[in-house]
Amino acid sequence: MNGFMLGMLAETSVHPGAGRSQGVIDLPVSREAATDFPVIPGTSLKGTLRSKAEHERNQEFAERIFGKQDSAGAVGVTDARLLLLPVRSLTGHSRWITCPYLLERFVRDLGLIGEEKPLPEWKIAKFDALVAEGEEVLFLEELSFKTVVNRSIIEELSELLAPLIRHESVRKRLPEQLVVLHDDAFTHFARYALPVAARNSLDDKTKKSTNLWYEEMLPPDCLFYALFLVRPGKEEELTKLKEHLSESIHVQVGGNETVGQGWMITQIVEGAQ
Amino acid sequence: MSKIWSFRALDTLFFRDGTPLNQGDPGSVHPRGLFPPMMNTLQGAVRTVLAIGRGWRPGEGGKHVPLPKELGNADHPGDLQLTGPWLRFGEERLYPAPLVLFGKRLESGDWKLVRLAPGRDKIRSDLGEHRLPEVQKRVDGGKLQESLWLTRKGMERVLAGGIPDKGDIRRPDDLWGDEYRVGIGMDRSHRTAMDGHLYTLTHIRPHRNLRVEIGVGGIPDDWHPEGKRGIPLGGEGRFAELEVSDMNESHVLPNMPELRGEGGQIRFTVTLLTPGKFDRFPTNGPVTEPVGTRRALINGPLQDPAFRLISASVGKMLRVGGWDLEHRKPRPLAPFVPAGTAWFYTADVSEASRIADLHGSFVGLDTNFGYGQIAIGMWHEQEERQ
Repeated sequence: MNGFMLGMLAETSVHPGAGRSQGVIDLPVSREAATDFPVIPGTSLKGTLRSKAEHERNQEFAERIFGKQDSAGAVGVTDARLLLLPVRSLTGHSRWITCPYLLERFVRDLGLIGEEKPLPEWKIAKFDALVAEGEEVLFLEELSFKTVVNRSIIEELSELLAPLIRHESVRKRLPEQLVVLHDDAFTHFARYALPVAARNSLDDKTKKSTNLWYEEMLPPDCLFYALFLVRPGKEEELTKLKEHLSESIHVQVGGNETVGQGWMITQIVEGAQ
Repeated sequence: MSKIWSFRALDTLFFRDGTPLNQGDPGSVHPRGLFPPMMNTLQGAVRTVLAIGRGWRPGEGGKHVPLPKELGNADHPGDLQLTGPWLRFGEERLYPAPLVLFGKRLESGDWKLVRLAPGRDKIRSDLGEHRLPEVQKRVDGGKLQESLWLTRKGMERVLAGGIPDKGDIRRPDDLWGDEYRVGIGMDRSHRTAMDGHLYTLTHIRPHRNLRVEIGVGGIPDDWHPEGKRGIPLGGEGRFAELEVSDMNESHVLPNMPELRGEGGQIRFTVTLLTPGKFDRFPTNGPVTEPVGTRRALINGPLQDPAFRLISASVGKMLRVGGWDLEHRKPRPLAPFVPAGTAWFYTADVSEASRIADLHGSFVGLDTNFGYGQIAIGMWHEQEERQ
């Protein structure tokens, strides 16, 4: 085994902070510089898993897997990449949106763990939405899209994504809620459709506001995945990490742990090798 | 036969430059890293992959299978013949633009560029008496374009003494983005951040379809790995996808222009396609003066009296360190002359074939690492251009 993939479905809102803000939101989420898509940085995910390993196993175990200051760890942890983003729909229940680029990248990443999966071929125009069924027009947030109904492709894609999701119930509703948008349309939602919460700090005595700030967050039901790739000669440690994550299926990533944010349920996907 | 090893970042990459990056280093340094990486970093990755393919295992100290001698060490590439690194964006290989382009990008996305050429008069300075490069025509708000990349077609135009088309120019922003990272040290017992353990880094995130590629030769064909694989690359525990393929037409260097003489003279440029190394510093011991680098900058990289150096356009020196995995300490910083640096020469027309032979050859030290590969181009006196 040269690696495995970890599917991560958000059970609560998640705030992987960017560390600094350049816009009107005080605390935005981390984004990939090249695409502007939300991301959980690999360094942050690795820190989370190290901390989890220390608490649930011990420090020696954590250092063997994730390394210490003077020696590299046994596994490489990639960024957790976004695959499905839930957005509101005036046409009905919320939808999970994705785009050809994310799907293509996912299939490429599967190849790195020895899992060769074909991606169904289709073309999608800028204001089209590929769905399994539905009305002629699909409203997502404030935008409308012309639906292109193709159940077989949506079911094929759902089958591809389902192994990343632990809950059987969620897997079942995936084909009905899955929407594939053009890359550019998806980018719009990834930039502007994340929930923003106002948070306030009150003076203990007077109950007056002492600090007001705005935080961007990823909504529950976001689907991410990360790759865990073994460093040469450290295959045993990779197996131990896989066992550990199979036994303990929840991780808390990003900030705001004390207000209940950042909880994700995980599912391991192994390649054929 | 050489094969092409191509690296695609799985997410971000971080290649250490000469900025201090040790715990406890004072000050507010903000390491930005290098991109594309230097060949010594990529050589380490190549050696590791090849050695594992021969049965060697990291961390064993060669107890079961020694590291093959053919793969050299960190200071010597052994039998390996490395070339590059180059960038590949989609299907197109990109080359660092010669430092002869001056100007700016307009809001419309068009470029206003002029070429540099040796000035008419000699200027006396601490470097001696030389003709310094000057712009042919003033461009308000323009600057020397030091970080552009060109397609093969664009490179051929510049080597031929022209200006590249807008569609053949790529800026770093078109190819990758900077990603600011903050790290903190955690107090395990209290799960709080530790004072004085905050650090910042800037990773780079290549855009979709950007790859770094190098040529790897000098070893039997069946030593090259097959298929795709994830390998550790650079610092911060980052990984990249490696894919090995045969060479094809897209890997051939841009063509040299026809060398035409004027008044019995050929005016030609020598441009570094890869960083040039002209000094070797001991791993241990005092750092000495970079005599070789200074000599190469002032006297030119061609040590042949038939080729007369007229001027040069030199980029900012690279100070390259890196991490010594074996001894677990930073490598000594060494100066490299950046890719794109261009020297302006003249020679008699009778030297045309010898000049042509220089195209694609190497200058300086450690050329088996791919350092100092050069391309030959043409330049014109300012009067001729007007």
